[in-house]
Parts: sequence; C-alpha cells; structure tokens
Amino acid sequence: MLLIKNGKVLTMGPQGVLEQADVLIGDDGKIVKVAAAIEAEAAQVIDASGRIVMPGIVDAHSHIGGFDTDTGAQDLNELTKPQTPEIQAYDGINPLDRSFMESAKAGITTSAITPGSGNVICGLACAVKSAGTSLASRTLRNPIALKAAMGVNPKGVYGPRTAMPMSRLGVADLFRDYFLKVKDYQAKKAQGQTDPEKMPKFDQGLENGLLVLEKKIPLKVHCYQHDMMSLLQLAEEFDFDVTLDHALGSSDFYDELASSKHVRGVIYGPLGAPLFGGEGCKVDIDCLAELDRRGVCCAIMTDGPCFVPYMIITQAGEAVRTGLDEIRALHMITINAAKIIGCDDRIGSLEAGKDGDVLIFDGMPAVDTEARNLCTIIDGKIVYQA
Amino acid sequence: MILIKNGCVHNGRGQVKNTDLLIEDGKIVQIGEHLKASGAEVIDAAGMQVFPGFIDPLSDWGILGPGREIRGNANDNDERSDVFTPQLDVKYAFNGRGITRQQIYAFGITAVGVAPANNNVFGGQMAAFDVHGVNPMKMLIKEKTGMKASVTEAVKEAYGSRNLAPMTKMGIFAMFKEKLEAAKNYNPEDEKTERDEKLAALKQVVDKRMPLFVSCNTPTEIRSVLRATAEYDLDLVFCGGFGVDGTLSELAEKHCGLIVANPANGFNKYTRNTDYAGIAELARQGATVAFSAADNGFGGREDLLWSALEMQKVIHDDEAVLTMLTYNAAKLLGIENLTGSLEEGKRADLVLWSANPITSYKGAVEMTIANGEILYRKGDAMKCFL
Repeated sequence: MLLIKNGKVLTMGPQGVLEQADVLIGDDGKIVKVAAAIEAEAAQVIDASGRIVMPGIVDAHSHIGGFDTDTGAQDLNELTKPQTPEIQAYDGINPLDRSFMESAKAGITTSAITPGSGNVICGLACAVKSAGTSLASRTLRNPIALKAAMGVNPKGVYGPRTAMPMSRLGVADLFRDYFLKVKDYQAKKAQGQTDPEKMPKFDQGLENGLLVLEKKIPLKVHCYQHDMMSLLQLAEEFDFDVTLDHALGSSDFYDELASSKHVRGVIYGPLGAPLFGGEGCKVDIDCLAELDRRGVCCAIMTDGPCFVPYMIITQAGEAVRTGLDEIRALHMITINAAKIIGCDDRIGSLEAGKDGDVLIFDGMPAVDTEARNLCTIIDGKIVYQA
Repeated sequence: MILIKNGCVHNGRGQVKNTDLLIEDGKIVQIGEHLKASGAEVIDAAGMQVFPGFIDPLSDWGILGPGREIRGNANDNDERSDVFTPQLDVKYAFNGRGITRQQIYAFGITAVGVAPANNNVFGGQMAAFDVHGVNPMKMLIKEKTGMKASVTEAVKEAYGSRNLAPMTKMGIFAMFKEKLEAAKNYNPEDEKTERDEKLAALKQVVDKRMPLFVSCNTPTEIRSVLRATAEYDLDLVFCGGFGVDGTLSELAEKHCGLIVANPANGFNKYTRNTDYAGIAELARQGATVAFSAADNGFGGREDLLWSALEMQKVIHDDEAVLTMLTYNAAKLLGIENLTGSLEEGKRADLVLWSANPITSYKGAVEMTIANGEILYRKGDAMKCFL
C-alpha cells in the first residue's frame, strides 16, 4: 500500500480540491480512499506536505511509440489506400520507446495512441499507460475509437499520386462510401440472424465501423476549421459520435459545437503553429474557455511526438493565459480527456476504485511556469522520482 | 505622446522598479517617477509588468506562412540552387503583410531577426525587422545584421541527396574553410582582382564587420566550427544549442553568441539533451545567450516564450531569462543601441503584461507598443485568414 500524505489534493473528481488530504492506494494498484488523516500502518508513506497532488495526466491524442524520432521509422500511417479501418495502432506501438518514460516523467500516465492522419479512415486507437511491463498489460482499453481524418492530410498523401482523395470532395466521398458499406454490412448481418445464407463474410474493417455505428466507440476525427462542419453533417447522416481532434478554428463554431448531439468532445491542439490559409487560418486556444462554459467536454493534446510530453501542461497554461480557470484547464488534461476517450471509469480523477495514477508537483501546474513533477505513480507503483 | 504610469518596469538588463515611462516620436524620452506630460495619452499600468518587447533573433517570420508564394519554392529564404550564397540578402524575401498577419506583437514580440534557411554552407545575409507594417524596406531596423551559415545534416540532405557536394561533414568543412580563406584574401582594391560579390559579402565576416551565425545541431558541430575558425578573429553566434553543456567553455572565452532553439518539437531528435544549467553557466562566463522559435516554418508566436520557460524551469532567475529574451537578442543582431531594453533614447518597444509571463501562465499581454505605436490592446479581435 502507498499513502500520500498531507498534500493539496486536486482530485479532478466529485471531491474537488482538498486543501490538505491523503491518498491511499491499495496493493491492487487501485485507490482505496481520498480523505484527510488516513491511517494505514502497513503503507509506504510519501510526505506531500506543501505539494500539489493530482491524478495522472491523460493525453487524449498521441502517436508515441509509433514514430521513432531517432531513426525516422514510423508504424502508424499505412498509406497504401485511403481507407484502412481494419488496422489498429496497437500493432504499431513499440512499448519500449523512450517517449513513454519521458511521458511518465512529465506526468502523462495514459496516452490515447492513434494511427496518423494520412488516410481518410485510419484505423483503431487504444489507451496505453506510460509504464509497466508488456504492451498488453499496459493497454488500458483497445479499441477506444476509430480514427479518421479530413482536410489537407489525406489530400496531401493521395493527391500527388493522382488518386482519390485529391480534394475535400474526395475526402467526404470516401467517408460516405465507407459508412454506407458498414450500413450494408450491418443490414446483412441482421438478415443473417434469421437467414444464415445471407450472413456476410466476416470483414474486420467493416466490423470496426460497426462499433462506431453502434456507438460503442466514437469516430476520432482529425479536423480543423470548416472541416468540423462537414464532419457534423456526416455524423448527422450516419448517426455516430465524434471527437473533434485538433479542432483549431473552434471559435468560429461555438453554437454548432455546443448544440450538436454527436460531439463527445473537443481535443484541442497542438498550439504553436503559424497561421496559414484555409484550415490553418486560426490558432485559438481561447476557444476552450468558451466551449467549456457552454458545456462542451474539452481536452488538450500533445499529438506526441509532435510535441514533447511536458507541452501538455504548457498548453493548459496557455489556455489559462487566455482566461480559463486553472482547475478547469487541469480538468482538460485529466478527467475530461479520460471521458472523451471513454476511460473515465478507470482514470482521470482521484476517486476510490480508480487506478492509482498519481502525480506530486512542487507548484501549481498550468499556473506556475516552474512547477515540476516530482513523482509519478502508475497503478500504485512509483515509476519516476525527480 | 504616451505616458505609462506606475508600472513595474523591468528594463531587460536586470533592473526592476515601479516607475513611469514617457514616449514621444517613437522613443522612450524619459523614465522616472511622477512624470507629467500635457497632451499625452496616459496609460495606467498599476499592477502590470512592463517589459521590453521580446526579440526573436533568428526567425523566418515574414517569409513563411500566409504571404508565402503559392507557386514554385514556397520558402523564399531557401535558395537551394547553390550551396555557397553569402551574397544573398534576406531583405528581398521579407513580406510585411506576411509577418503583420501573424500578429506576433499580440504575444509580446516587437522585433525579429530574419535569416536564410539552414541548407547552405553560407546562406546569405540576415536582417532585423519590425513586426508590423507593409513596406519591408521601411520595416528594416537594420540590414546585414549577420551572415547565416549552416554545418548541419540539412546541408547534406539538400545537396548530398542530389549527388552534389557537400555530401559529408568533410565536404562541408572543406568548403567552409576554403571560402573563409578566399574571402580573407579577396582584395577588390587590387586592379587585377576579378569582382566577386560572394567573396565581398563573406569578407564582411572575416573583417569582423558582420557576425557569423552558424546553425549547429550538436556540440560536435560547434567544436568543428570552432576548430575551422581558430585562425580567424570572428564574431560567432551558434544557433540551435542542442546538447551544449558547460564543457563548451570556449563559447564563453570567445564571447560567442548562442541562440537556443525551442525544444518542444518531439520530432527533432537533437532537442532532448539541451543542458540549460550548462548554458546558463556559459552565459555567466561571457557567452551571450538568446532564444529562438525557429522550427522550419512551423513555430508559432508562442514558441519563443516557451523556449525561455525551459531555461526558467532550470535557473529560476526571471530577470536573467528576460535579458536573454530581449537585450541579448538585440545584442546578437547589433541593434542593442536601438531596442532590446527600456532605456531613455531607445525605441519605445514595450509590452504591458498582466503578470510576469516568465513565472506565471496568468501573464497575458494587456498592450503592445512598438516604435511608439500602440499595436495591440487586450480585447482587440484577433484576425484570421480566409
């Protein structure tokens, strides 16, 4: 057992902020209790007096372990055809990649790892912890979403090959083409229940789309600016849930995003881009304060390795700079991110029964620029100490 | 006239005090307590931090992003047709509207150094510009602020990949030394000397009329440049700073400049080992340290401050970091007599922050003044591009 004593605890859960409290983690790696003055004789005690204790950070959109930044090798963009729903990020991840340890050091304890955005339908994403043994044991959930992409990325891959999609027209067409096939497959499977003759041949790619149509997982969509509006049209047509990943330009669409019943959340970032034309015409992290006010569940991403892990906190700080309350900003890198990736039953807040993923900072993250993570605990085990 | 009252004025050279500032004809004419000036616009800066504008000494603002060419080579500072191009001058590539549209002034930046890309051994001449305007020649703060050179892998990739020299470090340094020697021996006064604009341009470096900015990604590259230039008396500025540690004492002994690039991009394999404590020690011993956001055209306006925050996290000395963000950058560009600190007689390039942005993410820009003109007030709508 591990007992973290006397810290200022930002639970990110129903208990809110506790000015001085203890966190007890059991031998099974789960949180037993968050309360003042917990007694547990057998527990290893960590004194967190004067420190900030918070849940492990959840990065809702990352590619770490799938891009080897030393060699340039990559295993998350299967750019041989624009629809690859049958593949999964899980098969492209090197669990020994140093990005995981760097993430743990910075405070990211779980990353939603997704295929890249070179294809229109990209493949399945999964949630992986930053430390532990095998990839299987570290994978918190697989799949968490089916990844898709709009805009210049798929255009930029296939257009130069004179192949579809060369334009946004082609992107939308490939989206519709895929989900129409999934619907047909769904209908045939339903018929096959009564008439085995009509049961379609098993198709992994279409099965993965079924998870989306049945709303078991959301469609996780790389989209910016006006592409978000195209996406909402498609979500309306096929009735699935979406997460809007990157979402730069959201400040132009507050009403639409807040009123859509299909938006499970906005995963914003990475910041730090110059303004370009078209889909890159706005860099507007100030949108998070307004979206949050309107009840849209928002998270912030590193898009790792595009950004190194600590940049998730820096970006939360940038949201604070534009006027977002700091606790709300920290929600966006913990519980909100966990909710959007469908893992909030396990991670994202310090609550009894949840995973013992805990950080101890020497200052207030996203406010104090010098705040440093002193200790990372994953599943009740100390995996990093400053 | 503008009178800024009661701000906490950080002059950029280590001095901090609550005082007033009077601005007239684009210049700071007086700094002192209880100033009065009839007819001046009075700005109450009580509770605010008054900083010199940040300066990015090595950027590609005004060249990349909107305003870039839509046909041909979009990177107008990248003349990859010839590896030896010291005669080129970046002022011919600078687009006033291009930089203005990026609104980097709204993030506290009031001057930039603009440089040729990293692909040529000697790439051309740099210049310092305003951040707001239309006519690039009117926006010039100073031209010929430095000669840009590069000994990184980028040169090999740009030329070696076409089976052109240089393909190796051997080729790079053979050319580097040969051209410096030729420039030293170039004598246009001699009737028999054939006119050579390239050597004439490089001679400015050898004659110490212009500093040499050398892009280096590793300490080995820096050491190689120090060896290759050992016989010359040059003003050297190293750009990149990755992996530099306290053992590179020659940088301090020779009073070299060091521009530390932003380590936020995880795809850059060189950024991981930057030793800020070692760099700060070199600064104390005589090196001039500044920061840059340059990241092959993909850095945003926030990146410059983010670079500085990494230093602050290690050295916990916000006034020293501010000097690196302002005065030191001006010094490397040879414009410290004009801007880079808040002193009487200098350009009124200053920023009012709601809190110190080097220590708190709550620090937001309340107002930016460049050349005595108010460019931005908090609440001004940010413009986007369509």
